[in-house]
Amino acid sequence: MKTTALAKHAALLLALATLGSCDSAPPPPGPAPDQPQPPVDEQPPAALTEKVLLLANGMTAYLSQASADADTQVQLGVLAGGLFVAPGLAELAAEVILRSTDPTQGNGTLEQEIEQLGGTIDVRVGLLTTWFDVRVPRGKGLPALEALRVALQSASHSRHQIERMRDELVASICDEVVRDPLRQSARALLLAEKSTEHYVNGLIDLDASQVTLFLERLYRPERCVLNFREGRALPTLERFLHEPAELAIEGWRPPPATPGNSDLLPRQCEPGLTWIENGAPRARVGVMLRRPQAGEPEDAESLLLQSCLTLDGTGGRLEQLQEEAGLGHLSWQTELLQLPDAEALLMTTEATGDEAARLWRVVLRARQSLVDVPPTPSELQLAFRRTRLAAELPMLDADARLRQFGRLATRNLSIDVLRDRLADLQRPGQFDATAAARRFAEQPLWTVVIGPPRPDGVDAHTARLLPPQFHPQDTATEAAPQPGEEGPWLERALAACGGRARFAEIVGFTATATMQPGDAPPAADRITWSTDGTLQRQRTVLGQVVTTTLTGDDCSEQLGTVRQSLTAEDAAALRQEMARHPIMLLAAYARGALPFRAVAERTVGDRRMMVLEARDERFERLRVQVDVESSLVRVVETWQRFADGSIVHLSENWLDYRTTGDLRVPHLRRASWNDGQHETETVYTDWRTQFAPR
Amino acid sequence: MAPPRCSARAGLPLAALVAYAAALVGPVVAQQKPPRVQPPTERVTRTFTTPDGSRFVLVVDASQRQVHWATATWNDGGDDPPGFEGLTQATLLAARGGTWQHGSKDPEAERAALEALDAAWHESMQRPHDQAALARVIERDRAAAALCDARTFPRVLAAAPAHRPELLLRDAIAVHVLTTIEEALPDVAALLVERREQQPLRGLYRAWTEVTLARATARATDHAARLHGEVLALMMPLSPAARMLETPAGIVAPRRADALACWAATQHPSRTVHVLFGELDPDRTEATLRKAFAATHLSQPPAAVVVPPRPLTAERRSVVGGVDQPRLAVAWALPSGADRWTVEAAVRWLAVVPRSQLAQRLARANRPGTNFSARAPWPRTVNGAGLLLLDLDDANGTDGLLEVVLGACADAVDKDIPDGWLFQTNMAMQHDWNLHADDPRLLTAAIAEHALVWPDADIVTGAPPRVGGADVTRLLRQTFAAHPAVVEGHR
Repeated sequence: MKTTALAKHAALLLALATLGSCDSAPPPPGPAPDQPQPPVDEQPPAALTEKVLLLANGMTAYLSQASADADTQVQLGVLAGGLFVAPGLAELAAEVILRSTDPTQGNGTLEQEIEQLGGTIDVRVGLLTTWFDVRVPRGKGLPALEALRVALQSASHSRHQIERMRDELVASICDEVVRDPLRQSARALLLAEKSTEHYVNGLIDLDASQVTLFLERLYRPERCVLNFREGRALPTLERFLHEPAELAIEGWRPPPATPGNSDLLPRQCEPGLTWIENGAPRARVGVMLRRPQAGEPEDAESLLLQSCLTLDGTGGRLEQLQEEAGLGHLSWQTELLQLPDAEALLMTTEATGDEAARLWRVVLRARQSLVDVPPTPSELQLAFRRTRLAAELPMLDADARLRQFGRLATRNLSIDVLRDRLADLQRPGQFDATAAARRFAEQPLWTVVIGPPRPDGVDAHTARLLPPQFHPQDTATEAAPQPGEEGPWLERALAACGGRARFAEIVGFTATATMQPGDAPPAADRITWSTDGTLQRQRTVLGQVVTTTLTGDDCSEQLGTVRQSLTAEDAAALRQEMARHPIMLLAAYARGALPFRAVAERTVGDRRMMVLEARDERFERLRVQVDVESSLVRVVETWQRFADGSIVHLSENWLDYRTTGDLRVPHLRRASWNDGQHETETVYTDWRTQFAPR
Repeated sequence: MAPPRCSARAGLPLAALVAYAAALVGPVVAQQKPPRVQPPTERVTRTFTTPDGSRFVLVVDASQRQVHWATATWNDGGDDPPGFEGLTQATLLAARGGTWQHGSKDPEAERAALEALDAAWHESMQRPHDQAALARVIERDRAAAALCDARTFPRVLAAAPAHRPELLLRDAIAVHVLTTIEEALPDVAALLVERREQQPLRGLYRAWTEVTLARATARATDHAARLHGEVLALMMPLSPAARMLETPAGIVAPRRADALACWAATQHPSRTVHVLFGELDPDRTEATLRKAFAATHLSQPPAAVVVPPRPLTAERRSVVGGVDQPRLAVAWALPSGADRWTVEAAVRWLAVVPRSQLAQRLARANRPGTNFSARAPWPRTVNGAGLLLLDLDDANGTDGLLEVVLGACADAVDKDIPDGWLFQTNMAMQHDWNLHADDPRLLTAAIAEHALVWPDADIVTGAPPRVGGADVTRLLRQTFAAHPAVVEGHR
């Protein structure tokens, strides 16, 4: 029964992961949730010290008996990591669980409750999972479990509270970035973010409703794993999961989630060189080698190769090639960067800008050298010795160790699986160094440089540590604009989305989008727009393709072989629609082709919006609303005049800003005509900005 | 030039998702592990002294997968020659450069080069405007550097294997910590003995300059340091901490021989504590360590003299000028043999916001602008033979502040400590302990540190014991039975 249930659970997770989408999981197989489910292992051997079981609410639990003098550990893992839905959302959702209070019940926050037990709690957000690691003095496991359950079912829904938590989280992350920019940049890259700036922008961009929906859909027992380790016998630990019923973790059964998907973001990690200029005369350089997930038998080969490359920043091929490149004087500090589900070795040093650029190539060459010249027997001998320790490093701290034990236990693998595999590989003929080196050379490798300007000729991803407009103390006290003045808002919007210089070079865009016009059938568009007024649009509706072409005065639509000219008004309306895209408006402003004036400051919910109006006769009273906090264009409004003389008010909400190429571009438009008389939603699935050739 | 890129297959998401989802709750695979039926064993502690006089603490914890090794030594300035405060720390930094055996291309030649560099450095210090002397220093530094490779020792240590050897400087204590595995203990032990016995102190003059500048910077920003120095002058005049609080007069150069003597004194086996924490066999490990730490060539240092503060029979007062704002420092001698956890709870009861006695007294006296903090035992000496120190500052002046402090002290002794407060304080102390106990490396360092400072106390590897209210009151009553030393600071 245990095997079947777990296998189904695993199959479900695998399927979800493979499809790249995670719906709310259906109730787990087995008895109805209201009926208490007997433990999977009904008669455990008396001396068993660990056990995996499936609770009646669908949660998987791993129980482990610690020594009598050990502290108690409780870990809750949720399949709701940083890759889900939007950047920063997983971290903010965890923050809401950690810091929500329920004054009606007289409960403090989860953090306070654990501290009052004499314990600590850490939240760790990974790629796919988020973990709450609780450590309390021995014998305090039951109250810790109860505090966890209370927190899970009393997460705040208050917009005000969530936004306050978001602001505090942003402030805390910014502090960390300022304090240790290299480590935080490396962490962001490991989380498949482009940079810390991108991550902070994503956080600022989050709305309270997204958090609520995220918690509803993803924080569900069937998506959770509970690791519980205490110095008591397993039957006692198991009883703590069921009793008392009103507070036990097994009794946590949230109401059904709102229908819909909470998708995985289609993000790819971007290995390579990332250069962040901050004006410092010397560069801080970080090289990050991703380590395979700890404890997997197949990790052994990769770890061996890593030891051939470098031993904690000394020795190995890297030191040889550094010496040859005249960079032998640079010495490395190393640390293990751990997310709950991803790990990397981070080596840091200080160098000049030029040395940093050369170092990046040396690191790559050193790794490639293992393919070109496989490790010698003496190198391998050393590597085997070192890897015995390296294999254990991810289990350095108690939280990581318990997570690892729980994971291996659910897979019925021994904790010594990696040691055994290393012993196997040491037998003659068991280790194919060449093939292993090839695989090793394909693993992600990042280099982050923070400091002086990038030397000429060095191609790298460029990034910033923090959004330039991120000065909350300024915006909070900034006076409302005087009517007629332009104010700093659009300059900040340009800075927030990629910089004035880049916007001034924009000449158009190519996009693919899906439009859902109310109850009508959806339409799929392929659009190519140029700022000179040329448009090519292919719209597919119910299998029929309508091609619209605007070239100078030649404006037409074609369906099959039927071609029809467009009126001047229709062509103008289409051109205005393209030109109204926030990126195009900002580009026009950056070129000096579209001046604005400030009109008012408006409060929408808890957000302050600056309203600016275009001073251009091409548009009928076109206004944009710039979010004061994020400096993103959120709303574009205009009046549209039709050929029959009728006028409608059009309001377009622009959401889901993502970094595409060098720019941050909104990928979702919700358009509303005459205050909701008619509504459409357009999702941009692909966006490419066209720039003038340099 | 385009940066070399990894293969698209190296991208994280799908591969990682599938791998992780499989790993999170994976199907039962063919490989069956034997069921774990051995009951987990409690931590076992063993202490012993090796033939060379090193004190060892083994903490066997079968739940660990590695062995963490921390070596604690004093960095309190007690072995620094007068006028060269900070030399111990400089030697600790210089020792990262390796040993004669691992790191020197020609030990004899390098030894001569380092002596020549030492001479040139002194000459340059005596004639600070002599460019030729400075050029000689640079030339001899290069010559010495050419005869060594400072990366050799870290490389050999890494290959032992040992992970992340680092030096943690914690006030008056220095802890060298690394992580290894049991099989490597013989090699790591040999390397640590080699580090102690064959130390060339490469890069000494850079390390010394770094330490001196850091001290000067710290003194410039530590506005209470002058008051603290005066408190020590009144109560513990022989404490090396008083000299460490002085602002360096300028860059002076210690002799290389002095530095080596300082290294020998601070690293002598009789002055160190080693803690090994993790998965190890205690018998086998003890045998290994007894063999490796068999003898030392370092000369026996003079016994460290710690004169504990004596309770004052009359109040001693002093006033210092030229501080940034009005300040007050009040100190009492702690009774000898005070339990460290009781001291910790007493400090919280007396002067840790928000519900401490001092906070309440200040509120009643309507002094919202007064900042305060407390520490004990201070400075850090063997077995807590130090002071209870209160620091206060108030931009509006310190008139009447001493009366408020003394009133709070009287309250702290006279009032019954509520059970609720006691419970919360014990929980807070457990919480603070857990903050570093989560990380076994830090825990190992903390055990080593405490074993060095409290040699007579039991080794505590778990959470602190509960402190009783009566013990706290008794300690404070004993402390406040004597008179304080009071130092006022004026602009």
